[in-house]
Amino acid sequence: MFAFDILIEVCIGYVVLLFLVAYVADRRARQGKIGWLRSPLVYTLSLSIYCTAWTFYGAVGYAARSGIEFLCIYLGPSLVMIGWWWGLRKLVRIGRMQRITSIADLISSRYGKSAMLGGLVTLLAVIATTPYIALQLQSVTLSFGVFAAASPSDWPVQSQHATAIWVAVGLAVFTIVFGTRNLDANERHHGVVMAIAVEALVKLAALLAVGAFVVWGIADGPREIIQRINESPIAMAPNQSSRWLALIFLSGAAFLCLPRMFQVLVVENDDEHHLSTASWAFPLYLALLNLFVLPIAAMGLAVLPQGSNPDLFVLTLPLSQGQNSLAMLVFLGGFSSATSMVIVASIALSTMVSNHVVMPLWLSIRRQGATVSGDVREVVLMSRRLSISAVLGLGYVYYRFSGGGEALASIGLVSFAGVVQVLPALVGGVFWRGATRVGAALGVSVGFVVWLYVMFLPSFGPDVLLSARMMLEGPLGIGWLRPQALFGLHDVDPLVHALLWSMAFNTTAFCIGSLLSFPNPLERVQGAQFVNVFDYTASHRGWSRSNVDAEDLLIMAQRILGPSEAQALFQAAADAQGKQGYLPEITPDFIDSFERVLAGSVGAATAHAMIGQMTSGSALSVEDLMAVADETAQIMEYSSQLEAQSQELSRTAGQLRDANEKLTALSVQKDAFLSQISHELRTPMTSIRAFSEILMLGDALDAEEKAKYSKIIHDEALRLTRLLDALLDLNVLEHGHVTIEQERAVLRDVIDRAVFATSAVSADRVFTIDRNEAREAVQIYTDLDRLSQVFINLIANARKYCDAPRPRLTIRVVRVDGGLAVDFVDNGSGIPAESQSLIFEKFSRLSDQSAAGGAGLGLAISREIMTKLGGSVTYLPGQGGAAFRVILPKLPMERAA
Amino acid sequence: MPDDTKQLFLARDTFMRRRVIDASRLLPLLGLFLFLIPLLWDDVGSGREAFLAEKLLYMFAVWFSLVAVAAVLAFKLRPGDLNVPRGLEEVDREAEID
Repeated sequence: MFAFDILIEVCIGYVVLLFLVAYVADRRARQGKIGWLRSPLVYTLSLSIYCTAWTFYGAVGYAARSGIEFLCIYLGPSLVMIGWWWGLRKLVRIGRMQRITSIADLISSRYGKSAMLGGLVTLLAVIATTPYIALQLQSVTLSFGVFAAASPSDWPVQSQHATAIWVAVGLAVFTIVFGTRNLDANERHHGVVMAIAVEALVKLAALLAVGAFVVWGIADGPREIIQRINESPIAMAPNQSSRWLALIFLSGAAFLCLPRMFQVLVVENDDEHHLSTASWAFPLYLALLNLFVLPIAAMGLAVLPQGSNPDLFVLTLPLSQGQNSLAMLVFLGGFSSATSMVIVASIALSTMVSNHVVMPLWLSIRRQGATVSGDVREVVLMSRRLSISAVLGLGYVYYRFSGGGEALASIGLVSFAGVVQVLPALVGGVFWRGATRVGAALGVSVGFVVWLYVMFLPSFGPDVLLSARMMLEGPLGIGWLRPQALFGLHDVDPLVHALLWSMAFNTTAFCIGSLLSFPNPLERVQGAQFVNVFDYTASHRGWSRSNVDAEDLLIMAQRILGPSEAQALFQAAADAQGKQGYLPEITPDFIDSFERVLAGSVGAATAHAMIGQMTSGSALSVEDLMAVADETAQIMEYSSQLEAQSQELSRTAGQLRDANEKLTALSVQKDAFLSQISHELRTPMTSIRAFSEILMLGDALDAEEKAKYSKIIHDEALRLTRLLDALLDLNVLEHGHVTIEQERAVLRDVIDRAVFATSAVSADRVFTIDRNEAREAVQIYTDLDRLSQVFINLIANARKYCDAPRPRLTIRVVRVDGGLAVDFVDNGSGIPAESQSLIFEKFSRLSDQSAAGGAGLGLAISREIMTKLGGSVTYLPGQGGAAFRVILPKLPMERAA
Repeated sequence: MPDDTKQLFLARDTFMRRRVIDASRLLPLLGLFLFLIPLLWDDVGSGREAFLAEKLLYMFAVWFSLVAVAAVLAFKLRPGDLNVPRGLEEVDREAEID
């Protein structure tokens, strides 16, 4: 047997080791060396806080009393982990997306960031967990007691209560030091988790060691153990099907709903992939932990004296065999189980209490909230520290109050059944979009009340909180309201009875409340995000409009997150927006992400309320609705853009159709051109061939005839040459390979030249040309040859085609739009309106007067020339005859002297 | 054609992946069923010799088998599967029909 000193020394040494582990892990995490700190193995081991001292010592006791049934408590969580694809995966994803800090936060966040629901769940969790913490204190105290009983005189601390106090204080200090170092719960407690992982290994090692000692040390191997088990009284314990099922369900549900389990499963998870490893590794851990429980129980019953407490077999069995070191290991294992559970539970509870009770109260007391002076960060941290102390204090009070007796042993399941009241709201919230805040609040509170009445209050025994009379006869003598036989259900196991009624009432109230109420907009938005978490890549925008100043937000953020973190956050946001300095643009996106960061520190409801106070007041205000309207307007604008695009498309289609028509017309024109040109070429060729054949044959021809025919051939050849020249000219002009030689001249001289050059055309007719030479005395700067070519063409046309009896051409210089134009107007019948657009086309002739000597290319050439020179030639209607206007290229001009 | 072969292979791949997911969904139900079977073995009062140890062995055999199968499935589920959005699963279903 150990002396007290050694026990205390080992204990303190172990605690110092845990402190060191936590400290080193925290430091490495702060330096960014996460590495193995965050392996799936550590995650899996941290889940082992499910196995508390109640498991470590209690499982053997349970097995000794009820046989194989104890396994059910571990089968539930195993099945939940194996079936992770059903629910856990979604829960973890939601926790990461929404920066959930606790189970109360999850429920509050899902149901429209309701502070009321958060508070309710927190209250439930505190009431259900406190006895559990008391149970841990008791187990540590009891295990101390086992050593004390052996040598009472040795022990300075006589009172067990004093032991409990010391344990409670030590745990509080550890939790405060490592649990409230950083505020953002999403930064996670690396130190604590690492310490817990170490403790998980100690637990497992201790139980396996005892098991191996029992099987191969005390007994003679597995064969003897099997025999002993079948011979022990445990084998006679009956199987209760309903209890068996109820336990599997209860443990599985509690695994999800227990605040401490939620903390390690969801909040402390920083990689979803760890879940897939834990899905098999944690069931393996549980199986190994329970492997030797029944052998230890059977052996304990057989070896230890009658009346020994089976809850302590794990410790007393090695001690009775003189295995002191093994006993010490077991003691440390039990100590580990108790401390790790208490640490995580008090972290989880303190987060809940400070985020859902203290902060909302603090905010409502100080209406101005975070905008007035005062360090919110300190307030939050202090409230957490106080909450931790309060939770442990409550546990201790409960332990004292309940007398620390055997009654505590059953409290584990009572506690489970209490937290499980959150399950309908949790499952409904995650899978059913129709679940509403009213339904959740009704379900949780009805379930809570029923649980209090049928399970929690009676669990203290008759005449403690409920009078024995009431428990026996029901309140006011109404028999069917008896707490442990509600509605006459008195033949079933109390646990099944309580679970059945509380869950039935809970679920019914939840469903009816959800079906009959209508959720507010925020609730519906959150509901959609939770239920369809895998569909959402980006989160919705919660804050749409704000008139808040970036600086105010920064001041608030500094108070909550600490100056450097807040500044880094704001600077990163400003960077992302491409802005210099610390103050980003206050966009809805920024406020939204900022709120989520805050939620990581103070919970969703509080963060929402804080930002709400700073922005527009309440959630979803007129401004938000306006933003919704804005978005609608955006959508409408978008659709009108689409409409415009389709109009554009149809316009383009129209243009294409036009172009197509033009191309078709051009193709027709080209065909016409080809037939024209062959015709034009063939006519002279035919006569040349005919007359040259006559000449070749003709001996009989006289000289006059020969001369006549030769002249025809010559004329036709000339005509052919002219035609080809014109065609070449047009081709050159059309395809742009034309050189323009510009020079200065007086317009009058150019016209003079043209009139003179055309004097030979139809020279037989009397043709008058009217000119105003004074007005023609204008300086021009252009290609004079080309210009006179145009003039010649126009004058020659007039001479050829003017059908007036006394043909007269008026050439006048006019100013048009600041430019200079020359009009050629004759007094003939002019050109009919329907032909005016055609005359500039190639080979277009109004009458088939090929005899006139033109090939129909003159005007086409003229137009090309003027286009090249930068002017134009157009038909000028309404002048009493054929009229063409030549607009000269613009240039700086001056009157000639 | 080589393209067809590749498509067929892809579809087969996603098909298998979806079956792995199905299996990991079904596994806990199978486990629950197997864990409840001992309730049918009413040995107390039947006059037969008690066989609690055998029951215990059965329970642990089921337990460890579940762990083994869950481990195989967890390894078969590639990391990317965690991020398969619902829309993609629909696409997979179409690929399956091909």
